[in-house]
Amino acid sequence: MTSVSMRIHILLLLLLGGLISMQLNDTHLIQPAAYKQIHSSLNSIVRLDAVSEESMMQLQNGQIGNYDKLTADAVQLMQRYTELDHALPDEPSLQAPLQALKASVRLQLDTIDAFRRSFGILLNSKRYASTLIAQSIDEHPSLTVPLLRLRGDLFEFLSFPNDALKQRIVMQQKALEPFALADLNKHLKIMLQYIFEIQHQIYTVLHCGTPENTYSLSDAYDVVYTKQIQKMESRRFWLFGLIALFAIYLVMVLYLLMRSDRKLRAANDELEASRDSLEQELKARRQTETRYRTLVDSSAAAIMTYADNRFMSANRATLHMFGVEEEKEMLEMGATDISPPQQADGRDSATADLDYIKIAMRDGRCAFEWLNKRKNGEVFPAYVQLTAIEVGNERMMQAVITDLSDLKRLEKEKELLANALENTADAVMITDAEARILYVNTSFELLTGYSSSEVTGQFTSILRSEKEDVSVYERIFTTLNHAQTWKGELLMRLKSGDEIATERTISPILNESGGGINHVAVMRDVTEEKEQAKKWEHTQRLESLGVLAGGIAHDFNNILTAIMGNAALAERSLAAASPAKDKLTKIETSAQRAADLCQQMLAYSGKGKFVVQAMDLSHLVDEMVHLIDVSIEKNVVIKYHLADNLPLVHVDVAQLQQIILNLITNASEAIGVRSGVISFSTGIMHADEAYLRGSFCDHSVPEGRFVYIEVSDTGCGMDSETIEKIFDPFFTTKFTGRGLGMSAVLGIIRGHHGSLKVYSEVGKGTTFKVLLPVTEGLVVEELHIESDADGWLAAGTILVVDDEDTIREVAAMMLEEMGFSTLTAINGIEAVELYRQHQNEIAAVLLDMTMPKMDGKACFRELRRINKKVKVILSSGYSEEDATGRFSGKGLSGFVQKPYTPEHLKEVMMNVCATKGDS
Amino acid sequence: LRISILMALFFVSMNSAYALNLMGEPLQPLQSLQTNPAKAALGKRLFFDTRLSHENAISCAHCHNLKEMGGADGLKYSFGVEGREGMINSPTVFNAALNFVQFWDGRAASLEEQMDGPVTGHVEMASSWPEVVKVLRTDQSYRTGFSRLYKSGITERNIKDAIAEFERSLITTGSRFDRYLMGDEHAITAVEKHGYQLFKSYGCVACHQGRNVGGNLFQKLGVMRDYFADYPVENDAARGRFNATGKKADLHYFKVPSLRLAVLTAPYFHNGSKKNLVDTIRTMAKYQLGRKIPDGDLRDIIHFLYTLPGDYNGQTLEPKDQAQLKLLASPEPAALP
Repeated sequence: MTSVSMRIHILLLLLLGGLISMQLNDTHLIQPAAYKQIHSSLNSIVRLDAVSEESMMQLQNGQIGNYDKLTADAVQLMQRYTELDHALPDEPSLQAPLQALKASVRLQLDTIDAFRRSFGILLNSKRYASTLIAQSIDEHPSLTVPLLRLRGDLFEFLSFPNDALKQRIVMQQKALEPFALADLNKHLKIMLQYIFEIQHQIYTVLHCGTPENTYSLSDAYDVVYTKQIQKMESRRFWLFGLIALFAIYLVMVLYLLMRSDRKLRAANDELEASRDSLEQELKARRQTETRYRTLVDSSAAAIMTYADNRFMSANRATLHMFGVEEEKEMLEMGATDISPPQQADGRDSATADLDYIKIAMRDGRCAFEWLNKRKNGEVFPAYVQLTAIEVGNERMMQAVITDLSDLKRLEKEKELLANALENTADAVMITDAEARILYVNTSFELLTGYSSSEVTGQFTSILRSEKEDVSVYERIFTTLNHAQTWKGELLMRLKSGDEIATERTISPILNESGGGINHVAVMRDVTEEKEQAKKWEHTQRLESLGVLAGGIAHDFNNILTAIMGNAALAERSLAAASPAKDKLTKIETSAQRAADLCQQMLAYSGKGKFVVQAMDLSHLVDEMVHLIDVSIEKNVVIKYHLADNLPLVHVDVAQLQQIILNLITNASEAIGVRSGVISFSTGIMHADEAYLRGSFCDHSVPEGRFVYIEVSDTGCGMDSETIEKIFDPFFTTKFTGRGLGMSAVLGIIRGHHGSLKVYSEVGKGTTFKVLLPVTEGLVVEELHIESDADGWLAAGTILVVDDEDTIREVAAMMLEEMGFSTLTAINGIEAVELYRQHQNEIAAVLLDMTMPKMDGKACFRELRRINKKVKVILSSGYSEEDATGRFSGKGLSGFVQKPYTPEHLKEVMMNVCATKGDS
Repeated sequence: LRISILMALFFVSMNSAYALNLMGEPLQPLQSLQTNPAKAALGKRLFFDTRLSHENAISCAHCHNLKEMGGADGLKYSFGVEGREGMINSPTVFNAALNFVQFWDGRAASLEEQMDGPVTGHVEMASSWPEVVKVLRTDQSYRTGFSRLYKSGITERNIKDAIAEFERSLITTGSRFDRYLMGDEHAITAVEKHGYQLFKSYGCVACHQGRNVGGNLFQKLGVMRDYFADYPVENDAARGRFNATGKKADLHYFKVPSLRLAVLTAPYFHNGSKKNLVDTIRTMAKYQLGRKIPDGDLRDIIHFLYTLPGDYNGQTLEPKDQAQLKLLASPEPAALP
């Protein structure tokens, strides 16, 4: 069905619909309810008309109570009429009777209204009339007759009003005029007027024609109603016809519609299918476009096209890279605007650019490094790829520019870090999570002997030592897996197969999520350190032994002083032939040996240096040659290489002699029964720190010039373990040795702030090298104590101060034998007191160092306070250096080492007294 | 003989009131009208609601005091919003439902029509129905109250209906006089009965009749004498019914007012020119009846008028003091019948 024919169909349908609705409109007019209501209203009007007429009649007859009723009826009549007027159909044939009824109802209502007014007025006068006439008769008795006649006429008139009576009353009224009965006149006038008026009103209401008009309206309405019914019947017939036609037509149109709809739907489906495919295609295209757009825009590299040195397009990264805000601005620029005038190689940018474009045109593409310039003038390195492309028919260049400034900076940073890593002293190894080596630094190569290329890609297990407990590795991995750093010592196998101890720090390199990817291990060879520590520990042990030995020696010295003193004094007091004399001599000898042992113990403890002298060591050795010769076996040849003009060293001669003898003896014994050579040399050398580090002795020995004594033998030699132990007290390889010789040697050397080096090889021999620091600028000749004891006689009083009773007694006896008188004090306080009392008598004070209450040092201070020139001889079980060190520069007159013999004491006393107290 | 018969008939018709036949009495007892109590209650609320006026100034009760003034306000002319003075004396709202038309000039056929006057009148409440409806719609209790009674809720028509319903409930039944009419001989005193006789015989009843003792016809003010010659016109309202119909015949015609609450609703006349009943009745007698009423009769008529007020809310409206009587000198005992 074409749209034109469809329109015609619809128009026809609409036309039919219109006709039907018109018919319907006409048909629905008839309403039985309205018919009933109209008739009810009509009946009411007739009834109310009758009722109101009746009420008026009754009112006229004096039934005043009907006023209300009349009023109500009139109101109702009006209402009924209004209802009727509204309910009646708008029919021309009804207009005339309706108008007639309206006029009659209006007339009736107006009349009733007027009647009520008039009747009230009349009623009043009517009522008043007889009273008024009676009053008039009272006022004018002469008029009684005419007034009574008037009253009679009046009442007759009021009952049956007629013109004849009215004329008569008017006549009588005129006759009464001269008597000025004004009120009566007025009321008479009202009555005459209103009685007719009321009559007229009642007549009007009775004959106003309301019922007649109502009936005629009723008839007219019935006629109209019948006509309407007939008309409706015929209309209904037509309506049904029209509806039937409409329905048939509608069915036909619907059928046609359905058919065309089916066709339409098929076409529509086809269309939709093609539209869908088109839409999908479009969508795909859009997606592709968006993808490419996004690809280009999201690229970190600047991508742009240009032709004729003008940019045609640029992506977002371009704007960002060149600091340009809008693409428009970018498109106004050319390649020279974003480059500095000259490139890194000195070429002119414009020329170079053209060159590259030419290459790109020829080869299709070219890539090169280029210096670019941002809008703010900053020049940055970039990598440029030029591609010749064709858009439409237009040839242009596509440039892809990558900003290399970050890359370069990163490279620099990386280089810095790599340098730091390469140059660090510690070995650094980076491994992946599977313990495969990724990187090692130079220190690692040096330490392990592996080159970087050898180990890279290897598992770290190549560095593992068999000796290491496997559990250590487990602990390491557990720690690392918890993202913690492991620290500890680990053995490492070198390329050479040697194993060294390393201190290792292994840290996980965490990625962003906190998981460990790689591990970095920093390691340091601690073998040497460990050895040093071991040595240090040993030294400490020896030192503590030294302290112990020193303490014992000190106490022993006190005891021996008493023994030796008493023995010597006893011997002197005996006759020469006394058999006890020999025994006493033996006591003395034994005591002396005990004293020697104490001396060795003190020497070992480094506190046995008594007499310090500046000496030429070669000279010292020279003097000892015959002593040395007797000390060695006959199968041993000794060779001397003594240097001349050695600088002086500050030494205790006796102790040095002890060292030499010990070393010679040991060398001789090492050679044993075979023939061998001992070479003995002296010299001077400069020892640096590294050299000294390999020696025994204090680490505190500073580097500098040393005089040395070297004793080498060709004996059995020692292994390293033995060397470790030779300095331990009581260690000996000899059957008879006491094991204190080398300890004492080391103690003495330490006491002289020197150093000892030992080289030994089993079966080849041993070399000991004693180094003693050169006393710079010391030119004092060695002291020679002149022994002229025989001619000396002591005089004066000596104050002996010691807390030990035996010492006090022995010292006092020795001094008294020398010729001194003595005073004794058991501590410093007493000594000070005694000195104060006998200041003038006391020649000198023999003062013990360690005492209770007031020690030697404090006592000495007090004594000097009393007399600045007081002569004080210090006596101590410790060495002189140790004891006097506490008095340095305080003016001690002398020192006597315990135990001392009478000769020794005498010697010191002579020296002190000779100096005359001006030390 | 004919005359005597006529005379006898006349007098019987005049004086037969002593034999109290209710059917023949010009005055009839009041009977309550059928009302919907819910609507009446709603109407009462509206009657006392100032929101019906401009700027919530006054309510209907402002000029129709139900408690003390017998449903009027005791003023010559009433005052509206902003103290604007009206042009005519406020009639009582009691028994107004029984008046055949409303207003002095009868321009409103019903109570509903009447309400437009005070609500929209410039000198009265000075509001407008749309305004009133709008204001009342903001009140939740009115919304529920109206929607319960009227399908259309708060509308002008429904507001009027409710108030009219309330006014229809204001019928002052149960007066002593009504009880007398219905057979209670002792409901009123002999003096009051005499007063009723006088009220009838003097012709007052010619206009003031029916159950409302008036209110069912228009009558000219000044039937026997020209009232307006003696009492100059004060304003347009004096033209009376003429204002409503425009007919010359209706000039100076007024609706006859009900005397049911006359003793309470001073001052009197459309212009409130008389402050008490004594002067009023004298004036009425002079201009309407064309006669004089002696003070004794006047007193008895007033006594009668005091029996007319009925009950409102279960309490009688009849005042105890009978102040209107004090204006007259005490009657001679001999004057009593």
